[in-house]
Amino acid sequence: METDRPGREVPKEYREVITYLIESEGWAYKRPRGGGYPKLVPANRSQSPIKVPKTPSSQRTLSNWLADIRRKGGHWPPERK
Amino acid sequence: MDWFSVHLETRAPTAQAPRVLAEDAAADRLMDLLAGYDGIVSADAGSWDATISVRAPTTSEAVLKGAEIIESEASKAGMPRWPAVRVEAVLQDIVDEENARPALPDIVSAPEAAEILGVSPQRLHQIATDNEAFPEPVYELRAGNLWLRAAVEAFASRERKPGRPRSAQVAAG
Repeated sequence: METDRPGREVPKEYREVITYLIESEGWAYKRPRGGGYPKLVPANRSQSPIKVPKTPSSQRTLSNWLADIRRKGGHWPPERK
Repeated sequence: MDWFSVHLETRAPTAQAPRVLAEDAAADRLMDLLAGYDGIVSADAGSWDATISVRAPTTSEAVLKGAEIIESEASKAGMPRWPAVRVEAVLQDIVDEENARPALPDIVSAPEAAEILGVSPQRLHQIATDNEAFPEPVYELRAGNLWLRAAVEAFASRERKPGRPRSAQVAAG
């Protein structure tokens, strides 16, 4: 699946996670066409794409977003042994 | 009052799924409507889900409050009215702890498993084949099997009997 690269349309703390998931875990990222929210598509395509906040948000929003990524099979922070 | 992360998941009725798509613009509207609740939305053919944060005195009240907010805002956003198939509330502190915890299992290959048992890789292969108490591999790859470290360590401690050399105990298994 083709993927966009995250840019300034998403806050830095989200960009870092998205880049890792694209490069290391086979996730894809879709920039919005128009004014919508970007989407993060899980490597397991049967899971629903997760919307990405476009503006700096609270720690709880980031926490809820990371929990959703884990729920859909992603890992953060990176785990290398 | 504590902060809870409330997650609600919906599915289209079986007859409709997965042909029915939650409209992307509606999911974007729901993101806007839930922004004040630290909301995150996921949507696809046949299902959508949302996670928000709410303050509540108990977990069960957080479930009720969170589900009510998500369903009410989803209706305003024009999301499909699909039945909720899962609702859960977790203390926000626990979510943070879980997010920080490794999600991948700690797995070992044959040489590492052999090291834990104090035997050679060849002997490990023999034990894994002959000893029914040895754990099943979690992955069987062309490059070799992988086991859960905890399972191999538990096997090693079961096999370790006082007064006998470690390698001899395993060999006896």
